[in-house]
Amino acid sequence: MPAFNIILTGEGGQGVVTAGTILSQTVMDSGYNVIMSELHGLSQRGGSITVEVRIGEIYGPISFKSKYNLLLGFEPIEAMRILEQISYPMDAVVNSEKISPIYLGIRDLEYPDVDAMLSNLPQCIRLRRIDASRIARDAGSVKATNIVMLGTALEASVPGLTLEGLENAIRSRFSGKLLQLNLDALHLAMGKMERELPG
Amino acid sequence: MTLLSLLLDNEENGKKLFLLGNEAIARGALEASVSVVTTYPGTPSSEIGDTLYDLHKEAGIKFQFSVNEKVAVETAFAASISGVRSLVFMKHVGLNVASDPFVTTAYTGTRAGMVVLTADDPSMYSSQNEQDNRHYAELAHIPMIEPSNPQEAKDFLVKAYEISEKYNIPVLFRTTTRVAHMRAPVALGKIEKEHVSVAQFVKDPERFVSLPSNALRLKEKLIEKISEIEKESDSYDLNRIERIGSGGIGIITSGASFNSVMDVVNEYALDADILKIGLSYPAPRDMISAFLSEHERVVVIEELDPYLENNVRITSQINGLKTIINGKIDGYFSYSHEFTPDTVAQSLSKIMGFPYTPIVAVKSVLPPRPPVLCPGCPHRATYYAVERAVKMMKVDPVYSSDIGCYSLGFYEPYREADTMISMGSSIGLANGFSLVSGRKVIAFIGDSTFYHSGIEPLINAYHYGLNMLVMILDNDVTAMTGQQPNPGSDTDTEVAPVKIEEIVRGIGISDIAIVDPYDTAVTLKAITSALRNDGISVIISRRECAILRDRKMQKNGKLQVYTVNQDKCGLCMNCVENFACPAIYIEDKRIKINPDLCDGCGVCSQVYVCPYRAIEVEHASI
Repeated sequence: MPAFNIILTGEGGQGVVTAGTILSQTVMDSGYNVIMSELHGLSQRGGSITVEVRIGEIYGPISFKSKYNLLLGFEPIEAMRILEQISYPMDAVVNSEKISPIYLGIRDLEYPDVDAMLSNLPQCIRLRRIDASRIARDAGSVKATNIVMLGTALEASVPGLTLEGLENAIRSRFSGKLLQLNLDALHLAMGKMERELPG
Repeated sequence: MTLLSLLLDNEENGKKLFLLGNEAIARGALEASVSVVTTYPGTPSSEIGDTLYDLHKEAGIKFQFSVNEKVAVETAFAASISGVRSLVFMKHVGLNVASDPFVTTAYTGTRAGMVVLTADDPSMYSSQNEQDNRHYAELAHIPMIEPSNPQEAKDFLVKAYEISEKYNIPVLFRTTTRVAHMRAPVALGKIEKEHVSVAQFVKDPERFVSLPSNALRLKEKLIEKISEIEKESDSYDLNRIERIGSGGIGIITSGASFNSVMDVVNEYALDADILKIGLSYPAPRDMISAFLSEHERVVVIEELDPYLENNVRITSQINGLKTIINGKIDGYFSYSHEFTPDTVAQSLSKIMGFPYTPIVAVKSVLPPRPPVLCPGCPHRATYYAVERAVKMMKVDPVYSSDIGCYSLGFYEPYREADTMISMGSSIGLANGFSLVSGRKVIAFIGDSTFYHSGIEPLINAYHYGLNMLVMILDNDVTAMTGQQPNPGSDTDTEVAPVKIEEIVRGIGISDIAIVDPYDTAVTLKAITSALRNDGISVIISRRECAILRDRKMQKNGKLQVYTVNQDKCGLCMNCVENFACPAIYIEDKRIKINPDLCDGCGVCSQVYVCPYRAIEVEHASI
């Protein structure tokens, strides 16, 4: 089996690392080898953050740049930062909710027209948009945005990723109110995908 | 079961957990029956400490976040020579601080196993330099082990204790960011329950007092030990050959580079054998020599400096071998940046002649999103107040900054960092600036960094009557590395908090103020007053880290959120352009506050930030 490479990106504080860990745990529990990269340290809330999850008979946590299969973009600018470098076939799911970098305010700049950039991507990138933050709020809190994004990965033929597996990984990680919130968010994402992600 | 209980559980023997390299090292410490653990937090080593701190009591480990790396090494060394296994870990630059005792511990040697772990940071994700600490092994004549992944990080650590005890020598355990922060399945081993945590030091002054008369003899013994370890280095299964090729080309590699090499060799189905070195000092020269003899060409692939390559070239020269050797000395590989499959493939394709199309980065048109001070961060309020005070007083100070979250004061709009070199250097450099110019210096230093190495330069400054304002940003924790406690923290009943103001007064400094940065008026007044003073002023800007405060507030179920009253807002843009909180943004030509990000500190609502008083409490949410 060739390696399956997933890149998750967003703003520090959006739960990108947690999402990557839950995704990896699910895949590992299905019997696959999985390696994840994460960076700590100067990633306070607010900076760009990128996590890679690699599945298959691979050794290192970093993929060849031309070999990503799936992007989960938690924030449009951060998703575009990866996508603008890519010109080969892959799946990409991008959350619609924008978070302005403070750089824009300081320089008196507008949030760039990422929507236009996303609609001009090369044909080979199969792009799907989802209002993940709103779905998370409907489930109870914007904090569950990462789980909604994980729910979207279920449509991308990730080896070893199943709804039941995700539920189990979420159950083993959270308890009480947070567990319910995250399960609700996951199920709400499932319902929404059929409507908002028609291929 | 939580991760911590899974890590502690001996019944999990053989089970696989999905662990961060640093968590695997923590488990390795348990499996190796380590009883004393010391550290100063530093990325990329911090999570070893976070994990062991959380489980040390249950595991029967004596754990300390030491005041700095030097004290951490000295504490661990004393434990070892008293008969207790110890682990001390730090980031790469931390070993510079600890290098003084580190080098001499090799001379005296150890008793119970002692491992000194250094976490290097190729590509400098969170460091001020990219130094290659493998040189320290050579410099100190201390054996060095380099794992490539979390499984090896755990297993090799256990072996490091065997080597340390067999030769009575400390072992340097070197990870890098992509090993420390790589998550992968790890098969657990057995936790040996019997471990010694209390012991008496048996005196042997001829060995442990490093006077020249003793040390010369010890140095000779040390060189003998290293030569013995080199002879026996094959017996530890730390070095191995992956025979994939037909014998033409060999690759010698170690650590994180091994992973990239394997991914490249597999992706391009390359015809190459691989010698993976795990015990890299002393370099296994017999093994290298045999590997060289078997191949027409050997490529050495390693991040940062040509440490292995030098050893390979030396081995070749000593044995009179004709093998072609490629690496970074002849220009194929870079001396900087971490290696990725792409960078390795690009260099290797030039040597081996396989087709590789280099990735050409497209110039981004997107705004950058560098790390920022969190919403509610007390440092933002301090930087804002200093900037206002300096403008009011019409002074043009040199800003001498330091290592911590507040080094982000470098970025717009604050730009309050002109220098930043090393831990404690804010005050150290202020000594020099004050010595050679009459210009005002403002030094910014955090509480943890002040305890670590800010006290000595402040003594120097007072002793020589220098002129500076020292802003001590006291947020009660070592924040940047993940909110670890420091000597000022009152974490439990077993520690005695050390008060910064008592240290400062104890030196003899009298112009000292303690302010709450959330109170902009009081903070501004203290700064303007200090800027009028000729001599040393110290302002302790004290307010707990916003992340800590959030955790408490969320527990209590209360967090105030602010909003902009659009009827009052004069659109002066001061809050957006000069205060620059990530929660404040512009949309449809209006200033808004993102309620998901607002931390409720309320500093933006004060008249010094919002002259229109347009920022108001919206509601209390969780």
